[in-house]
Amino acid sequence: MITALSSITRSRALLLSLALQVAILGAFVSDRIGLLRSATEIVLPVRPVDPRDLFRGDYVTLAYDISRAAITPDQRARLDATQPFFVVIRQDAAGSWSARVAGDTRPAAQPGETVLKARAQSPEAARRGSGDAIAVRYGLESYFIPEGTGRQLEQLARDRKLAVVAAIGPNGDAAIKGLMVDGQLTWREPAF
Amino acid sequence: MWAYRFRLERDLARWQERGLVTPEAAAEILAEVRAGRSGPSLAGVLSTLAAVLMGFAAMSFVAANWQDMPKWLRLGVIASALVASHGMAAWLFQRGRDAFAHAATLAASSLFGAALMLVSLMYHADGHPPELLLVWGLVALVSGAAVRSPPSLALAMVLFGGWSAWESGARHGVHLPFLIPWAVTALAFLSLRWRPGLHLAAFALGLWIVGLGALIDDPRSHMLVAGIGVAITVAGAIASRGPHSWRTLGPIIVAYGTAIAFVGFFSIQFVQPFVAGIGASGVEHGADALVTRALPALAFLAAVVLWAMARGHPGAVSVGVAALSIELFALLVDGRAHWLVALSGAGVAGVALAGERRLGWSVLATRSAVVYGAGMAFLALYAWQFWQDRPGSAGPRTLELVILAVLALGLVVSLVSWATRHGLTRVQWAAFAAFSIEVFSLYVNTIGTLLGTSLFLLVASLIVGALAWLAIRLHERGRAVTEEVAR
Repeated sequence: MITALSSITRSRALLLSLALQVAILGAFVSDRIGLLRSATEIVLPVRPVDPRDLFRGDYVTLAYDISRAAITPDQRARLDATQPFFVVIRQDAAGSWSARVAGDTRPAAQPGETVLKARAQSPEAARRGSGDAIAVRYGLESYFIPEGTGRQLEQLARDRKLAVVAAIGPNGDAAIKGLMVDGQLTWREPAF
Repeated sequence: MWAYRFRLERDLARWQERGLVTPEAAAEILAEVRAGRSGPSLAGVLSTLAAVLMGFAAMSFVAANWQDMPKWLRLGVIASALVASHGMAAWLFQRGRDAFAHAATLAASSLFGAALMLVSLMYHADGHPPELLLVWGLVALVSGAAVRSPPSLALAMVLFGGWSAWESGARHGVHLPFLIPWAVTALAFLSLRWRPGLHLAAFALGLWIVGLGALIDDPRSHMLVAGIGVAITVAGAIASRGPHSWRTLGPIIVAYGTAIAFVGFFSIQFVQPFVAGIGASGVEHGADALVTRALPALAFLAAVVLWAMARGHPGAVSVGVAALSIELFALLVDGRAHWLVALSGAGVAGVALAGERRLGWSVLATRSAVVYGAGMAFLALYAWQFWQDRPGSAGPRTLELVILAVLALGLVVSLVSWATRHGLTRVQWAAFAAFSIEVFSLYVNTIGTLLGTSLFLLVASLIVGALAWLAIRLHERGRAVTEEVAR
């Protein structure tokens, strides 16, 4: 049945497997740490979300003004919504953010604009829909929290006092770096 | 282990008979097998239990303090768990405890998934969950292939399946990339000659192919599924005539191909018209449309069962028979083509009888098939006569009803005489019950008028009575001939 291997060969194979696993996790962690240390930082107010979706066990679901990105019919026809694509966000004078789909190649950011990598919330809806905006995710939508603090955050978000400090990497990846309540930084995510 | 010892005892007895082994040697071999491989020792069992308990204690301690630990400590805990599980596997392999070592390798591969989830949780990275499954699967694949550990490969196959299902669900489209990791994992199973793994691979690919029917936005997608299934079946049948290594694989391929093709055929008949009828303009699918769709399915399944019976492949026979009975039951419930079910049931019974006589099929198989076929045929005839409550159908006319009643009664009477000839008491009673139900239903529903029913039953009783008289005469003459010969 199973071809026998010497236990030494197997030990080497196990060492290889361990090295691979640690390397992948290490790459993942260093990628996130790099992101958290990235210089680009934006503050995104959290939108009140339907509370049924907001509080789910030990993490909160966060939504932003930029969770809907404007899209032209032409772009929609060309977009492969199963793959990540780029979205350009900009803040107006009043401080609120807006987003528009840029396509699958990274556009050059104009002054006051930031480029983010995004995925369609539902590729199916993005492909078949007809409106002038699609629902997108940036990887900033889940925030894992200590047990039992979900309700508090939910209330803060409903009162629109909650904002997220997001770190933006050079390739448009985004990570939650901290939380702001009433304009005060209350929690900064440590890299380690 | 038990199977091994049983076989060894049998073989030793044969070898002793042929003088290959002395009785003393045989006794010694058996004693060695009984003593040496009596499973893990008490100390081994207790230490494993202790290790499990300690593991749980460590896990609860970590879980209780997880939130308060700084990130570097959490990463350290995760890394140590990975190192420990790999070290454990290596140690067990060195001790020659392969079964436990494979379990530890599987644990190490599983732990990596947990580590991946914990790390993405720690950094609030919820990017694209299916990709995590893919990475996890690839790691399990590499570990399983490098260590030659089947359980880890099985985990990889399951994870690839989950990845593909998630991706195709999210995009509502066919997920072709699945085929690459599938093929690599299947090759790994093949190189280890691990049969359960090959079944898992076949099952995963089968699900993927069947998924095409739902995922491709085209009414012909089910035809594609059926076509692929038929192609696999034919390929398996050809392979079973090939060189030795293929000969055992062929019938298994046929069984999987048949299952896939049947899902396609079933959807063509009963799912797709239903969906299309709701979607577009309520297209009417009459009996003709159903029959056109059902005939290829029935022909294919009949061919598979006959082929597998002729070549003696029980697995393929089982799959074919199961599919055939689902098909006939679905047609019966659908109710648009009772004649097809009646004919198919009679066909099953007829073919089984012929197979017993001409091809030496087993008595049990043929008798079951005769009872099943006759039962299906009777149900179809009965439904045809009395269950015509579909909107728009007025039920059979008098002449039609008479013909159907004659057929049903003829079928039941033949079944009774067949069962009597072979001494099958229970079948006899079942046939009597069918006979009574048929007669009672005729009485309740009436043929034309009450007088008509009475006339029909009178004629029927005269015919059956005449048959009984004939049977007695034949029996007596037969006995007279035998006695004469004896004298």
